[in-house]
Amino acid sequence: MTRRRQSRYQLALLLAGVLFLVLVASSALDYLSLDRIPNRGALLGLPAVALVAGATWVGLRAFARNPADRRRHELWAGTLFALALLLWLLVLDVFVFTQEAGAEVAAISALACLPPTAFGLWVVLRLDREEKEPWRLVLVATAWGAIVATALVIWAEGLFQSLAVNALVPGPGLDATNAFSAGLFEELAKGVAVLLLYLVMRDQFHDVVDGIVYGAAVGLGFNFMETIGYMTYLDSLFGPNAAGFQWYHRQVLDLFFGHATYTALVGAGIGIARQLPARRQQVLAIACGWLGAIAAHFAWDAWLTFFPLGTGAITLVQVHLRVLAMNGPFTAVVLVLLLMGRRIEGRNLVKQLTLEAASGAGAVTPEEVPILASPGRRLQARLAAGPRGYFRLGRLQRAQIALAMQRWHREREELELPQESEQELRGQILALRSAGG
Amino acid sequence: MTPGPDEITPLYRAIKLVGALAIVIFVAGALEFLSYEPPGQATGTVARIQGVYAYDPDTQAVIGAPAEHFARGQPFAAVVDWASIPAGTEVAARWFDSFGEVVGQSGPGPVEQMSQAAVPVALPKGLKQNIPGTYLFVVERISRGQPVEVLARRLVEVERT
Repeated sequence: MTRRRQSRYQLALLLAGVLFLVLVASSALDYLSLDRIPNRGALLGLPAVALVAGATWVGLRAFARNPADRRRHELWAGTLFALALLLWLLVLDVFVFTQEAGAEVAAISALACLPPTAFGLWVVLRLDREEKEPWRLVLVATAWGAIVATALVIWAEGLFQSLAVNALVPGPGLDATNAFSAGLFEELAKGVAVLLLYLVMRDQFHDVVDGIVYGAAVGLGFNFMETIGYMTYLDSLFGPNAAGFQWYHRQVLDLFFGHATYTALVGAGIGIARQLPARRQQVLAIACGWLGAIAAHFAWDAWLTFFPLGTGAITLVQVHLRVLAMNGPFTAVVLVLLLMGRRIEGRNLVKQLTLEAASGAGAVTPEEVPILASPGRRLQARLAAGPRGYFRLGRLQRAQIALAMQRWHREREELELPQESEQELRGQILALRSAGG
Repeated sequence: MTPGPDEITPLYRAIKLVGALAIVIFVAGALEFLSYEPPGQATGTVARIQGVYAYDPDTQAVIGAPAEHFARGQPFAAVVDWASIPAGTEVAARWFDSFGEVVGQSGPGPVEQMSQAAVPVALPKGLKQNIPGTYLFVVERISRGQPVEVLARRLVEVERT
């Protein structure tokens, strides 16, 4: 393991340790503040306990194994433990966010939020046209946003706002302070997921486009859980119409404009840092992305009152205009960064495909270069290959693009994978080609 | 073939621009904060809130002993000892619900003119009960038409059930 990788892993471990302690503190506060544990707690809590037991058992077995098996067992133990933690946090979230209206309303709200969030993820996954992120990793990012980030912020924001309300004059000054706490704590809690991916999953985190994808996925997860919380709360106060409006605002109108945009800004900063050579530049890029996210979130929360809503039908128009005017510019910034990143990717894809074709290794032929360089032409080629050929050609194209991208990242000295992995990819491509006849 | 760090430079510049924009937003936020929370306004004056009581809107009088928790259907009011504030001070008393909306007010005006000791919470428009959550009551000193100092504050809880 290189020294750089080791220091990254140590930093990731330190971050994970701190987060774990914060979550334990959050759990303790949740336990103290909740009067009773309804049955639905046991429903999710018991599997969490079982998973912890399973993780312990597999983890203990890992000690007695040979090095290859040990690593596999350690991985399993870690996965089970992470699942247990997620389930447990889900239990807490269910209590904290949905106790207002009860399980039935919470379940309906969750079901209503699933399709738009799933659509959002589908769109986000397609943002990266050349080098798609593994959907499992994108789902992990979404789960972090929904479960871990929400659990991290609830007490931090609550305590901060409690201190502020006891110290400041109620009004715009206090509102601005609370808005700052929401921006700071929520963006830190969400962004740390993207930072951990950057530190640990280097082979799946290459550039600004990847950062935006992971960041937006975390934001969509956070928005999912927050919407459920708001819907259940408003339903308990004002009835289903208020909950329905909240659903429309957060899951339709704000789906890409709110949290998805904010955390995408964090991801963009981290993604740009991934390709910068100097440590100072990397830190500055990450800080700027994070500051942008906190500022965008702060601006929405603090200055919403500068766009007062009227009454009647005009309110609907105003609600849309308000989102466009306040969050639209930040979403536009994310789109500009995304397009810039995609142009760089596209340019290098063509260059590396051409070089690979010229090498005569057979993994890419000169005729394939213009097809592989264009997402539209790739699709056309797959469609022309017929139903069975569609998926086979899809696998071949993905492998060829992965090879070109790997060449690009190696050229930029951004890869930690050994040179042999490139040769392995060529072998896979040739095997896929020959399997297709 | 040489690695091309230059191709990332425009992105690096763009993200630095985002950082600069963020700082402009924070400065604007800080200015807003300072304009509503101006420094050097603390006079050390403390107002006395006798308590928060159940309230009868018909007789406009408070009932029973002071409390910190109220049912949603129970009207309530804070009772302020205006005499505890030095004469000549311009003051106001306001109730805020859990959404931060003003749901009851007395003043603003010179403390000598504040005749109403009980400041009740008004029901939000279209609702038959109070919204549950934490309610904040403040007695504020007003300067140039703007609240600049909290002379006393009290938090009460409106129960969900």
